[in-house]
Amino acid sequence: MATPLTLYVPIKQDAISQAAAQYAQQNFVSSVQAGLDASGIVHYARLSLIPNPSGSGTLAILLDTVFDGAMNPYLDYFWQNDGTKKAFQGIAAIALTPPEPPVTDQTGFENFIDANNLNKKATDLYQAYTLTVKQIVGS
Amino acid sequence: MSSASPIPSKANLQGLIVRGYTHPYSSHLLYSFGAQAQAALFFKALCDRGIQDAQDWGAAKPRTILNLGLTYAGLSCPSVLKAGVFTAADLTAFPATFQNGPASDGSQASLADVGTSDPSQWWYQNFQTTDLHCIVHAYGLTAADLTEVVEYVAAAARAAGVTELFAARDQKSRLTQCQLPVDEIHFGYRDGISEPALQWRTAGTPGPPDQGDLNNFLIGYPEYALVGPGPTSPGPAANFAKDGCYNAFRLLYQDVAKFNTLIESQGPDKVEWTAAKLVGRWRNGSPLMLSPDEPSPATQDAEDFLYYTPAPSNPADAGNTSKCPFSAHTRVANPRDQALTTIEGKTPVRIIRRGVPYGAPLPAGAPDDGVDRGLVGLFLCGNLTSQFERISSWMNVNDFSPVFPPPRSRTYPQDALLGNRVSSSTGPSINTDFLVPLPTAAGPCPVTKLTNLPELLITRGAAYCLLPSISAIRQLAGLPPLPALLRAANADTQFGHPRKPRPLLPLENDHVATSHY
Repeated sequence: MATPLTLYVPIKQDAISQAAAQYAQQNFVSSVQAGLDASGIVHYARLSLIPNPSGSGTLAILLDTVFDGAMNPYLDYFWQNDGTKKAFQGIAAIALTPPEPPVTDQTGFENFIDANNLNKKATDLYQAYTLTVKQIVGS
Repeated sequence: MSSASPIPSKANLQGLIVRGYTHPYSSHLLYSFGAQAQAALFFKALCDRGIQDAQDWGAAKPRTILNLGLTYAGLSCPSVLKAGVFTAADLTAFPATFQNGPASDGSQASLADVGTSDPSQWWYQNFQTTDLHCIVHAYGLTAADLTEVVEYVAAAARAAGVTELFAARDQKSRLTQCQLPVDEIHFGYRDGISEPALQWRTAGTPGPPDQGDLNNFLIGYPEYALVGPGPTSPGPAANFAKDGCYNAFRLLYQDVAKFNTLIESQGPDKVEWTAAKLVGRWRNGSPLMLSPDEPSPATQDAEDFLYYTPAPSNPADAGNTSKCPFSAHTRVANPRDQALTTIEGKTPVRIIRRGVPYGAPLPAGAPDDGVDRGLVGLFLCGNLTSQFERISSWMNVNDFSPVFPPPRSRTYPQDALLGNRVSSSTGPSINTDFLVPLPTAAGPCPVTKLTNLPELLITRGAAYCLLPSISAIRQLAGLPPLPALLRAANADTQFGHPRKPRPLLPLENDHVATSHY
C-alpha cells in the first residue's frame, strides 16, 4: 500500500492571497512535474481549491497526494527540489495561520507538513494494487 | 550560547558524539520528571560530577563517565521549563519527528515496529514512552567504578525527586552492558567497525561535502551539512540545541537461538559462511569484499572498500554480489558506492553507533533460555528522519537502489539480519527470501536461497533524545555557562580522521544490474 498526504491549509481572504491560490492551482502540475517524475515514488498529486461556504472565493488549499513508502525521510528531497519547494512555500505564504517556524528551511518545511497533514494515520485509503511507481513505470 | 567561531569547541560537545568509549562497563538509566521533580537540582548534581565532553583525555582515561539525553517530553516538563531557558512554545521549532517521537505514525512508517515490537508493548509495559524524559549513560572502567557512578546518579535522582524507570521484565533491573568481548554483540559479530569519519568541514577542506562529516551530526552548523540538522530557525530552541546531536535510542532484543538455527541451516561446514553472507563481514570483522573466502586478521578492521571498484572479473556480476549479497546487513546500512535511486540522494547517509550489548550471553549450543538479551542501541544523527529513519526504512524494504529487483518483481527483499519480515501497511510488498549469488567464471551467478528468513529482533523500546551541549545542560542546571574561551574554538580543532580519497561515484545508470539481488 502507498502513503497518502492530505495537506489542508486554510488561506487568507485578501485579494493577493486569493489570486495566488488560483495561480498555484492553475500551474501546479507544470511546477512540480519534473520533481515528482524524478522522485519515482509519487503515484499522483493534485492541488484543489476549497470554496468558501458563501460560494465566493477560496477557503483553503487541499494538496492531495499518494506515494510509496514512508514520508518523513523523503521530505528533504521535496524541499531541495526547486519546483516542489516553491509550491509548498507558496502555500505556506498565504496560510491563514502563518506557520511557526516559518517555511524557510528544512525543519520549517517538515513541521509545516506535519502540522497540516490530515492523514497522519491513514486508514481510509483504498488502493486497487500494491505495485510501486517504480514497478509500474518500469514495467 | 551561540559561538562566534564556525568550529565547535570540544569542551562544549558531549564526548560520546565524537568518540566511542571502550569502557567495558556501562549502564543506561531511564528517568521521568514527575510533578515533584526538581530537574535543575538533578542536572546540577550531574554537572558537579562532570558531564564528559569531547576533549582528548590523553593517557588519563576517565575512570567513570556520564553523558545524558533528553526527550521532547522531557524538555516540555514543567520542572525543565522552570529553568527559563525556553518556553513550551519555543520548543515547537524542533523538528516534528523529534517532537512526535519514535512511536508516532510518521516514524513507524519507517521503523515498522509491529507485532511483538509494537510501541504498545515497549518497556514491558512498565511505563509509557511519553513518561521517559531523560536517559543518563554511565560508564566505568571496572564493575566497581560503574557501581559507584550509578549509585551517585541514583542518589542525585532521589534527592531531586526524579523517578527512575525500569525497562526490564522484572521491573527493577537497569539496562546494563553485559561482558562480551569489547565491540562484540550477541550474534557473535564484532560491531562498530565502520563509523563516519566525523571530520569537521570548513571552507578550506578539499573535496565535496561528505555524509560522514561531523557537520551532518551537530546542530547549528548548516553551511556544510547535507542533511539539515534542526532546529534551524533562529530562536531559543536553536540556541539551546546548538552543539547538540540526536540519539535514536533503541532497545533491541536479539533472538540468538533463532539466529544460530539460521546460520546452521546450510550445513555444519557453512555456519560461518552463512553468518558472513547475512552481514557482509565475517564475524571477526573482515569484509567479504576484501576477504571473500575466509576471515583474515589483516582485514578485520578494514573500512576502506567499495562494492563496484575494482570491477569484478565476471561482468554479469557488476555489483560483486557473489562476494557480498545486496541485502547483507552492512551493505544495506552503508551501501557505499552503490547507486541510489534519485530520491535517496547521491550518496548514502550515515549514522553514528554507540550501542552496547545487554543481557547474559546464551551458552554455546544451548537452546533458547528465555533470558532477555540484545542491544542497547544508541544511533546518533543530526536529522532523525533523513539519517536514522531513512536507513531503518532501507532495512525494512530494500528499494533504495536501482540495482535491486527488476521492475516486474512484485516484492522487495529486506536486510538479511535486521528486517522485520512483515510488509508495511504503507510500503511495498516484501519477501523473506535471501539470495546469495555464488562465484562463477562468467555469466549469471548460481544462487543459494535462504527461504523464510526469521525475525531476529524485537523492539523492546525506543526514544528520541537530544544530547545537549555541555553549556545547554548547565543552563538547565541553573549554572553559569562555560567560560567563553571554552565555548569558542580552542586549540584542539581536529575532529575525526582523514578520509582516504575515493573515486567519484558513477552515475546511477552506469551500474549494470545483475539478475540477482
